[in-house]
Amino acid sequence: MKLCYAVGALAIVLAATLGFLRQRNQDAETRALTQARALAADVAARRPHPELAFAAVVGEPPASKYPFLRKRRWLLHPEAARVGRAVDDKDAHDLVAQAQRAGEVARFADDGTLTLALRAGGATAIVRLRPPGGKQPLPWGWLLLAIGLGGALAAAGRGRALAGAAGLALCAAICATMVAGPGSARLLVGLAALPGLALCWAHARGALAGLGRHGFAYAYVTPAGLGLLVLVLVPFAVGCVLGFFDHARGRYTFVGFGNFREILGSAEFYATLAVTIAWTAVNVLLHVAIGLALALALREPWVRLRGLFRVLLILPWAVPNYITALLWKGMFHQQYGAINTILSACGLARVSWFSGFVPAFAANVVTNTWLGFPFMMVVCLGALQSIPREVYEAAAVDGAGSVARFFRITLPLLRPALVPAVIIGSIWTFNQFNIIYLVSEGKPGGSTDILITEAYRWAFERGERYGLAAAYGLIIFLVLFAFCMLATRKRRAAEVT
Amino acid sequence: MIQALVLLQTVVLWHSYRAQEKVAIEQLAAQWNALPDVPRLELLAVPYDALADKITAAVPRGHGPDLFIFAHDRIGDWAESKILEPIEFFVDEPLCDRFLRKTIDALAYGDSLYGLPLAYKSTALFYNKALIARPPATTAELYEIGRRLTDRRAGRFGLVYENTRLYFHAPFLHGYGGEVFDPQGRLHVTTPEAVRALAYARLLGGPDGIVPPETSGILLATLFNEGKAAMVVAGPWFVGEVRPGLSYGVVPLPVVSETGRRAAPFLGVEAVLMSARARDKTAAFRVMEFLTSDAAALLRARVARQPVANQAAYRDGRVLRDPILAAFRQQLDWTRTMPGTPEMRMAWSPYDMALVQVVAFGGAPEPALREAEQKIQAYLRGAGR
Repeated sequence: MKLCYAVGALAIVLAATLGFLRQRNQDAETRALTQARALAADVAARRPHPELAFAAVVGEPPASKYPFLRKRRWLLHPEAARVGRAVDDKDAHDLVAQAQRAGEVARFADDGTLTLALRAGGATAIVRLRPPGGKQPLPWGWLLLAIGLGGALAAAGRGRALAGAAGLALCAAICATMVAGPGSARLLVGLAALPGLALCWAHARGALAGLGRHGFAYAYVTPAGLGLLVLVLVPFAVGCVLGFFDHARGRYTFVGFGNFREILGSAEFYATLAVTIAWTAVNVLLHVAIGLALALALREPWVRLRGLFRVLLILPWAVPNYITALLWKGMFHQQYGAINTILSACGLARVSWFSGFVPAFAANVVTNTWLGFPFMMVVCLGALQSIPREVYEAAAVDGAGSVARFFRITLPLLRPALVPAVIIGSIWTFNQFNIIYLVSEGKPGGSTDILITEAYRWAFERGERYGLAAAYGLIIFLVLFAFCMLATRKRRAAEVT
Repeated sequence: MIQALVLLQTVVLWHSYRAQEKVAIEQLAAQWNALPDVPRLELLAVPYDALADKITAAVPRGHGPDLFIFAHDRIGDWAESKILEPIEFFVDEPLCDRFLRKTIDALAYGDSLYGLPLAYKSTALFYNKALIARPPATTAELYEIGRRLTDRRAGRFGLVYENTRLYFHAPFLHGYGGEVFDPQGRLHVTTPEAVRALAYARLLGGPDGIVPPETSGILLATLFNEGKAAMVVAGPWFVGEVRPGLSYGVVPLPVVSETGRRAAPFLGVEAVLMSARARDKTAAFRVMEFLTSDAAALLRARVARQPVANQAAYRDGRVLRDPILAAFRQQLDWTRTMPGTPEMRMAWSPYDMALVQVVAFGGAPEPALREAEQKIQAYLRGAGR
C-alpha cells in the first residue's frame, strides 16, 4: 500500500513534467510552422529568400508513359529561375509529392529542422529552416532534485495513510493544472507539489524496509517474476489496451468500447460462443470418460504388460499436436482418407467430413479427444494410486458391488484431483486453436470456428483488425475467468460439506 | 569507429527463396560483394509464411531489413502503413523499360513506385505427356479430355486444381468475363459472368466432374506424380515438385468456349522492395538495380528457371529453349494483375467460402456469391473503407 503511494507520486511527477514539455514543444512547433508557411508562400510567389539554406519551387512534371514517373518532378531554385535541376534530396522529393496530394506537409527532423512543402497559387514550394530553440529535452536534473527534496522532507516527518492519499490527490490536481493550465503558472504549481510527494515518500519507507528484511526471498523470486512480467503481464496489458483501439493502415485510433459493442452486437459472436462452449463441454466429457475408463482398466490386476500400455496410451500426448492434427485431417479426406477407405470397405457410404457442421465438428472432436484423453488418464492413474486398498476391502466385506464401489468410493476420492484437471482441460480446450485451424479450418463457412480462431481471422485474414482481435481476447479471458471463479467456488463449497 | 562505418555500409536483404532460387540469389550476392567500392550485401533467409508478419512487426520498430523480396500483393497494405519506401525518385524511364510492362506496373500504388520486379508468377496448365498427346485448347475440350481420363473408383482424375480457392478459380472467373473488383476498385462480385464461371467450376468438381474433392497442394503433387492426375493447374513453384523422370508439358490455360476469351490467372509479381527504415537508401537502391539487371535476370532464369521480369532475358537462346519459361512467358500475356490493395486481401476468404458452397456442396452460385459480396462489404466497412 505504502509502495503504491510512492510509485503513484513518482508517476504523477513524471507525467506532469512530460505533459509540460509536450505543451511547450507544441507551442514552439506551431510558431515554426507559421513562420515556414509564410516563407513557403513567398517562395511560391517567386520572391527570393537568400537566408534559407534550402528553398525551391516545383515546376511542371515531365511527360512519361509510366504514371509513377510523372512524380519525378523538376525543381527550380527561385533565385535562378532559368536553371532547372532535379531535386537531389529524396526526402524533399517525396515531401513535394505528398504536398501535391494533401496541400501541405511538414516534417520535423530529430535535430529540430523543419521542412515544409506547400501548394500555393498553382505552384508547390518547399522550404527548410531551423527554428530557434528546437525541442526541449527532459530536465533530468530538476526531476532528480524534486525527488531528492521529497525524500529529504519525508525523512523529516512521519505520515498517516489518509495523509498519503490526500498527498496523492493533491499531486493529481497539480499535475492536471500543469498539463492544461496557463504556461507561467505551471512551474510554480509544480514546486508546490513537493509536500505531497514528501507525504507519499514517508509511506514508502515502511515498505522498503520490508524489502530489506526479506531480501533473499525477493532475490529468489526475481527471475521468475521478470519472466512473468515480460512474457505474461506486459503482453496482457498491451492486449487490454489494444482492445480499445482500432487499427487501420498502420495507425491506431482510440474507439472506447467500440470493438466490444461491435462484437457483442453481432449474432455471429453468440453462435461462435455457443459452438465454443459445446466444443469444450463435449471434449472435456470425452477426455474424462475415456481417461478414467482406461486408468481403471490399467489398474486391474489381470492386465498384462501394464507399463507398455501406459506408454502407448500416453504417446498421443507426446506428439506435437499440430502434427497429429494434420495426420487426422489427412485421414478425414473424402477421396483418399483412411477413414472413408475403411467405411467404404465395410460397405458404408463415404462421408464428406467437412461439408456439414455436424461431421466437421465431429472430426474436430475426434482429433482433440485423441490428443486430450492421455492427460486425464495420467491424472486419474496418479489419483487412483493414492486410494488405499483397505477402503475397497472394507466395502467389499460390507457387501458393496463394483458399481457401488465406483460411485461411493472411487469417484468421491478422485474428485480433489479431477476438478483442477477438468478446469485446466476446459481452459486448454476452450482455446484449442491448432485443432480447429488445421483440421476443419472453420469449414463449412466458418461454422466450426471457435472464439480464438475467430479472433485470429479478424487479426490476420480480414484486414488486420488487431484491436477487434484483442477485444475478442479480452472477452475470452473474461469468460474463462468467470468460469474459473465459479468452478473454484463450487469446489470450495464441496470441500466444506 | 571503423567498425561502425563498416556496419553502416551493409545492406541487409530478407528473402524466402529455397532450393535453386536460393542458389541463384546467393550467387548474385557473391558477385555483388566482389565488386569494388560497394556496400556489403547480407542475405537472410526467412520462411515464406513468416516473412510478411515479420516485416509488418519489425520494420515500424526499426528492426527490419533494408530490402526484402515479396509478392506485390501486399504493397498496398505496406505502403499505407508506411512500411515501404517509394522509389520513383531513383528511377528513370530507361530503367523501367528493362522490364515487361505488366510486371513493373504491378508495383505502382497510388501513383508511386514501390519496388523493382524480379519474376512473375501465375498458374498455367501442366499435363502428363504419357496420358495426353495434345493439351486442350478450350474449356470444352478440357472437360471432354478430362472425362475420358477420369475414373473415380480407381482414384484417377482428368484435372486437379484447388477448386475451392479463389486464386485457382480466378482463371475461369476472368475467362468468363467476371472479376472481384472493377478497374475503379469497386467491389463487383455478383455478376452473371461470375455466376457462369462458378457453374463451370461446379461442373468440373461435381459428380459428373473431372476434379477430385478437397484438393490441397500436397495431394495435387502426389496425384500428378503417381500419374493419377492427367492435368493440373499450378504455377512455376510446382516444377520443383514434379517427380524426376516424369514426362510433362506446360501450356497456357485454355480459351473459355462460351466467351472465346482466354482463361486468365492472377498475376503475382515478385519484387525487391525497400523498407521505409532502410538506413542508406541510395546504397539499397544500387543493390535493387543490380539484382534486377539483365545479367542478373539471365542468371536467375538459367540457374533457378525463374520466369524473370526482364525483357532481355527472352531474347536469350537458352531461355527461349526452356519450354517451361516459354509457356509462362506466353501465359503472362493472358493474366490479370492481382490487385495489390488492402481491399483485395479481405476478399479471399469470403470468396473461398462461396466456392466451397457451390463447388463442394453443389449449392446455387448466385446466392453464394451474394453472401460473399455482403461479407466482403462488411469487412471493408469494419476496416473503415
